[in-house]
Amino acid sequence: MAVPRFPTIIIDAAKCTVPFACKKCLQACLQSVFSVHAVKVERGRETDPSEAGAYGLNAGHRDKCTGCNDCIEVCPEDAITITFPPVEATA
Amino acid sequence: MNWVDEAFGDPEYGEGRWYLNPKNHSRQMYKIKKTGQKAAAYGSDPEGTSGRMMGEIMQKRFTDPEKFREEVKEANEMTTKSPFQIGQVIPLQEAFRVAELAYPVASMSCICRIGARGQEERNEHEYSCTGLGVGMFKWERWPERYKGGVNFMSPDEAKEWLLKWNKKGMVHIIMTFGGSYVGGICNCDYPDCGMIRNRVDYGVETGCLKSPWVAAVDYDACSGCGVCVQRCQFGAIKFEVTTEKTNIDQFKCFGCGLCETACPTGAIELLDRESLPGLAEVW
Amino acid sequence: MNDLYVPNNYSFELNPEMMQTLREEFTAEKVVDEFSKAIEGKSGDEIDAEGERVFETFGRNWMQKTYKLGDEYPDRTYEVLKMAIDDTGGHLKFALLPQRFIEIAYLSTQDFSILPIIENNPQRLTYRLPECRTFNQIKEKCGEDVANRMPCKHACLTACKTIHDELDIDVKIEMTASMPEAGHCQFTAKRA
Repeated sequence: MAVPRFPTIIIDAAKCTVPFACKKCLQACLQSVFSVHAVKVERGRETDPSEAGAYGLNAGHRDKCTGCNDCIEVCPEDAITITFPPVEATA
Repeated sequence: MNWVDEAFGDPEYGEGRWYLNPKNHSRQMYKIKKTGQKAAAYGSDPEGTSGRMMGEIMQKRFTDPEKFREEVKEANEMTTKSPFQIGQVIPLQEAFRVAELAYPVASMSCICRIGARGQEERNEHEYSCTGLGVGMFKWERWPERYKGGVNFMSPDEAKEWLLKWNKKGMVHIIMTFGGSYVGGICNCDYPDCGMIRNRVDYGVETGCLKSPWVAAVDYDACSGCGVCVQRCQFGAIKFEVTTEKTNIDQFKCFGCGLCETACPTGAIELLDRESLPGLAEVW
Repeated sequence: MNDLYVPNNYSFELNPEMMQTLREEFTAEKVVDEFSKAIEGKSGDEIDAEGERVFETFGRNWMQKTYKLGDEYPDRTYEVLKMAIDDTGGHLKFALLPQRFIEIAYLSTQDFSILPIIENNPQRLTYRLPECRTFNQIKEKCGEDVANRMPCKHACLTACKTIHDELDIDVKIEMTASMPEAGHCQFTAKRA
């Protein structure tokens, strides 16, 4: 049986600072690989989507990534890198 | 009866179904902190706790796929001791019964859609999730969780509102946040709904059990229009070219009834899951 | 960008000063002292009659004061509850409004940190006392036989009736479990 080929998806947090305000990759991804969450959570306070670093992006469903690179195309900050393992490594 | 009904149902109420047992909808409003007291069994944040635990399991599909499958199996077998959120798909009529019983009922924003698609819902016209219970009165403690607030509804308003989301094609899932206390009727959608996705893509059952019903097509009444096909979130329905009728795989069917509420000829009926020996144990 | 929620310094908890006032005024010790003096040299039906008299008065005063202070010392939970009652055309008034005052009454005078609510919906409010200072005091001062006659039930039943009267809600009140048999007391107010 073929071993599934999970890519490594690196999101450069120094470039991707306001993912909840931007949300381009979240909405573009055909497989809904990405998710956004509040990194900064304070009781009684709503996190500000425009504050750099207050929200974080991750590729929680990278096992569903097909490598179509649509997210890379829409990302205004060039923050996403997707690397699939070479074919021979999974054969 | 599934294991949740056995553990948390009461035969005197709602045919023994756990989500129609009034006890699972009842809770105190206040707690007095007294010195030397132990923290509650699920901590102060059961949703966060079960979410983190499930997150740790899900993470293993990258680091140790075999261990991942083992832990999912364990989580599915944990039944009453499960610290995980319990969720069960219910059809619209059952959601209406909950709206009569749950106290209070409020619309609020969906945390899954925020997470998966960055979709914000900030007022009663946009909210798509239903919060239940007295905890709603304290939403301002966590405005990040309850973005935009909550909108309290009478049972009639709640029904109208649930119907609106049903028409749009959302699956109703009745949900706890750890333990048996019912916390919400989610209006869900694959792939953004965490519970449906965990079940359909990864086999995690606890958060998305099948409903006590299952859809069946009356071939004589089916016009083959295909409206139901696009309503199914679970890949259970296809248009069968040979017969020019809808084909429902009842083993895949979750009994949400979305196909039934949309069928223009009334050709789809919801059958009692347990009346069919082959499906009685399929939850 | 959308407007963010403006932070507030709300307290969602019961006001400690209010709780202290109720705790000091309505102690189990005081009412049981009164009761034990009243039943000196008496037996049987006479004890029951004294129990009804003493504890009914206590229950009424206790809940009337709870209602008064509970409204004078609001917390954010109460404010939002009242807004929700208005928003739902009064639908949430029973059981939630009486529930709040009943919670205050018990949490201020008993040792438990939550009042277990067994059922609260538009038809029924059922709550349980897992333990009771008053019952224990009666046992201590008047003996187990007197305690098992449950003279103190009149305090709880009257308190429940009082709050529903104050709020103008018509209910039928029942005691559905008692300490000597069940190890806990339980009361149900059914919408009439």
